Amino acid sequence: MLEDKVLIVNQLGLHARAAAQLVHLANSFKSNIKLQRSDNRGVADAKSILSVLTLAATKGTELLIAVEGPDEKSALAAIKDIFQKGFGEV
Amino acid sequence: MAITRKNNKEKNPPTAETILKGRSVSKGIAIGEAVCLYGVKRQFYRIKLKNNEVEREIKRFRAALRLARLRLKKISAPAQSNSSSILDVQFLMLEDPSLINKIETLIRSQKVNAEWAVKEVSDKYLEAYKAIQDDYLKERYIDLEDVTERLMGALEGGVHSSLPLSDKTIVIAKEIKPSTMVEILNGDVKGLVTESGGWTSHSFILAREHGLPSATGMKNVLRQIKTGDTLVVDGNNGIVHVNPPEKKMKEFSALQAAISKPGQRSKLPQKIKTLDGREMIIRVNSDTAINYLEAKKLGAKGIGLFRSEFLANRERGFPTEKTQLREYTHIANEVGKDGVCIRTFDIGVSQAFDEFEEKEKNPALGLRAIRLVLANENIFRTQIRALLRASYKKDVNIVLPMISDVAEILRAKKIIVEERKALRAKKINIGKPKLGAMIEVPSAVLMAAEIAVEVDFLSLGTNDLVQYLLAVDRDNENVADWFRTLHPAVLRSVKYVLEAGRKYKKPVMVCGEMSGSPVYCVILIGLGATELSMSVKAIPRVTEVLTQVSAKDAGAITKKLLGCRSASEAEAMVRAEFHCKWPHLFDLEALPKPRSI
Repeated sequence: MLEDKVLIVNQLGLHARAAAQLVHLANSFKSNIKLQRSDNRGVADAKSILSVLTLAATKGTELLIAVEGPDEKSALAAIKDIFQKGFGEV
Repeated sequence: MAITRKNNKEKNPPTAETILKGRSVSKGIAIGEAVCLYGVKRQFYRIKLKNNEVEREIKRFRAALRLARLRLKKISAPAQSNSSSILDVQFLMLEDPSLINKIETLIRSQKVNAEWAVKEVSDKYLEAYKAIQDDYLKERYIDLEDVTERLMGALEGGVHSSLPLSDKTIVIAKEIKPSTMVEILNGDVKGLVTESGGWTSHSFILAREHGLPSATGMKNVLRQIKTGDTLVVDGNNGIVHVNPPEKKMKEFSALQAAISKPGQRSKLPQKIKTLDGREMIIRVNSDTAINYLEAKKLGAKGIGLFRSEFLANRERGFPTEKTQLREYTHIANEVGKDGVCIRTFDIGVSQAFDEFEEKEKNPALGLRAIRLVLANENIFRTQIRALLRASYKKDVNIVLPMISDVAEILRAKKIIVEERKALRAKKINIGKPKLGAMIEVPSAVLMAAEIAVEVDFLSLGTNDLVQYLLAVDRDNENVADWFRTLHPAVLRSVKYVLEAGRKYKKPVMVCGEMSGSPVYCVILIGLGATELSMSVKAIPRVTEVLTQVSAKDAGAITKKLLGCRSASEAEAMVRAEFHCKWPHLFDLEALPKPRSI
């Protein structure tokens, strides 16, 4: 299992469109991808839009990404990347 | 309102009795079994599945998911803008593994129907969303609500499933929409209990007219009462007894028997006549043979309104010619020479086609009824062929809904002629159905004479006429005070249509709630009506009233009503005159009460 931390940098946070992008990306990997708020106020399955939205991750929220599976390395890199690029909004 | 719980001291009580106190809105005592309706937009219910039904329910849910995705794809395909990203979110929700898993788990563990499971699970999510601080993120609950709505729609196959009502049913709901109420009245339910809805709400007006004991003002009623509970609704005091002890049940049964009207039903007159001898023809609004047979026992002559769209609802799409022929023939056989008037499909475009997910802004003013089938002629032609064939040696008549212009009738007639020729050419047996037009749009009222010339009979649909004439949506509680059947404009319209019919010697049948109401039916007599069509439930009381008033007296009161300047004036006059002239027939309680407007 691989883990890393990311910070939400885009203005609107993990809102609907960003969450949709994230879920699409997560779905393209075989690994299980979990997101956890660093303040422990929520865990989400990155392949479930409803659980991603319940994270209520606004700008500045720190998330812990945990990936486990056959393609975990590339999955983690891609997920980190999309967060860092602010879902193309920054 | 107060709730008192007390332990039941009877010998083998299944559950403790609960007593709920609210307000009385319609008198009488009802004893029966609760059926809970949920949802405001869609009224649905919880079903406990048998073990062998669970997997079938899972399959049904999965099929609904596929259908919902398919429909969503259809509307999102052309758009590539902002809107498509919103739909994308919804699409992902429909594929969401944890959502699907939770729903299926609930169906399996609780053995409940898919509708119920969808609602439970989505409610949990909605609660979580509503707790979110950030306003923008919080708003996402709307998407989930939308998705839930889509799933519910898909589970229904796009059209409303009918309510599971029996002759023991007492309907429990937060509130009852008048359209649901009409469906309830077509069945044979015993009573109503709701959380909200005022004395003047349209649903309760109907409940009073139909003598359906009802109570309201029961807070959290859906949590207090479960489907299957035994209930006594004491409509006189606005009290509901949930699972009362047997002793109490017996007391109420005795009380119920004592207040129910003495049986005057032993001998029905062959002809229903007013005191001064005007013969009245009573028909029934019915979509089923069972309903008709019951009405026949009560003195009804034939079916005045057969709503063919119920077939479309049942078949989850437009029925084939063969299915229609079978259904129409069946009902025509039962009805015999008294005849059945079959109204062609009266549905809106969003009900009819899946791809019209995007709702019309004003469905009541939209592509519906005759407009819909003329715009999709194949549907109409199929139905006409089935009707022509069903009328072979049988008394089957056709009624066209929502006519607003003679041109619609001319076009329909042309199609009928063409289909008749085509069937003849194929040597298929056909009959000669009479053609009627529904008068329910104000323009049709004003053109009643021209329309009468083109058809064999007229059907006055008073429910829609009141809505269209007064521009009032009767499902909208906010404007309930503007829905005034006694508005002089309504009365003058009815009179105008009856006169047009008389002038051109075309029968006019009044259907809709007005003819089924003991109060309004007297006014209809006064206006000159001779044919009324109503729900089965309404027949005994209306017959009782009709045979005890004279057309002359009714005419005298109606003449004064026609001269009133406002609905309030007319209502006050009805209250005073009816109570004074026929105190034995009308309790003050059942007469119109003064309203603020």
